[in-house]
Amino acid sequence: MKKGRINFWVVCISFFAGALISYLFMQFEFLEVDPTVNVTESILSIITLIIGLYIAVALKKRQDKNQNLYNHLQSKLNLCWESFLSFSNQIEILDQIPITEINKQMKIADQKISPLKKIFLSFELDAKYVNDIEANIDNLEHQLINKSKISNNVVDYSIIKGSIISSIDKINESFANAFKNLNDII
Amino acid sequence: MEPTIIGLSIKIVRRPVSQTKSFVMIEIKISNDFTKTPGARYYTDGPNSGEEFYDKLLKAKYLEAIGKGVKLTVDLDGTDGYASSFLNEAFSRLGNEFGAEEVNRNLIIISNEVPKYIKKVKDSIYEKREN
Repeated sequence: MKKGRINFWVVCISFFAGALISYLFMQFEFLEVDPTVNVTESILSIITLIIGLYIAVALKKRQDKNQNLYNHLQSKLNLCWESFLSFSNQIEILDQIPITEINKQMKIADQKISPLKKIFLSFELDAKYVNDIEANIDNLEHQLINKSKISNNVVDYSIIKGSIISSIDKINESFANAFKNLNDII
Repeated sequence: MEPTIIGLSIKIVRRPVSQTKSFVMIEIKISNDFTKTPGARYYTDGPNSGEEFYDKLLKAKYLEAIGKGVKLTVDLDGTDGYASSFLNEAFSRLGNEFGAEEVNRNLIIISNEVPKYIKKVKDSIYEKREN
């Protein structure tokens, strides 16, 4: 309550000080101060000041809103990438992986990407980069499941490891692009 | 003036079982009825494959549902996830054996955890297989 009242007075005093200073500057001619008050100019300067304040507040609000959205999307994207990196490291090190592990990781990836996509769509942002990530992850799953040898539910992808690694690189590239372009999108 | 007497009779009629069948559904919850960890496409790939799911459960339940004139609900939630080949094998077999349009009409797919699976199932139903 007290803090609100102090803020009110600070704003009022600043406002009138600003109006007075701008008025004085308008009256300043060849280092001589005109003691008469020009009502029209005074009103104009006050209106200009109010419009200026309004624009500044509106811009600040917009900037804060965009910054919050940017931070939110960045953290979601980061979580998604971190989760994928731990899975891709596992694939890069090994030559075989249980199919249940692939299914599980793909499910986790989808559950992380889907909400992200929904946020992009609800804020009418261009979801191209998120779609790219999703498509590349689907492609990796397709290669692991349909192009590898499967026996006893263990996927042996040693023969196509080169193309698996390049698919992983592509996914990492699409994550990087999404991060890079997040600034431009918002 | 004499009061008028109005008689009211209520007859309770029980609806025949045959008329209530549209409210009953046959359901498969894969995590309970088949496995929590689905496998790949064929029997040769390992246990819990799409082929096995079709042969042992999906086909039988579909025929049961058709026989009773009700829809078959397949609930995909609760598992560790599905390989695209698992879903493709099971549902493309169903679509090819019983007709894609008919299967689509008689099948309800539930996938709240990964809604993308629903599209994969629908696409598989309409996929033409080479015999």
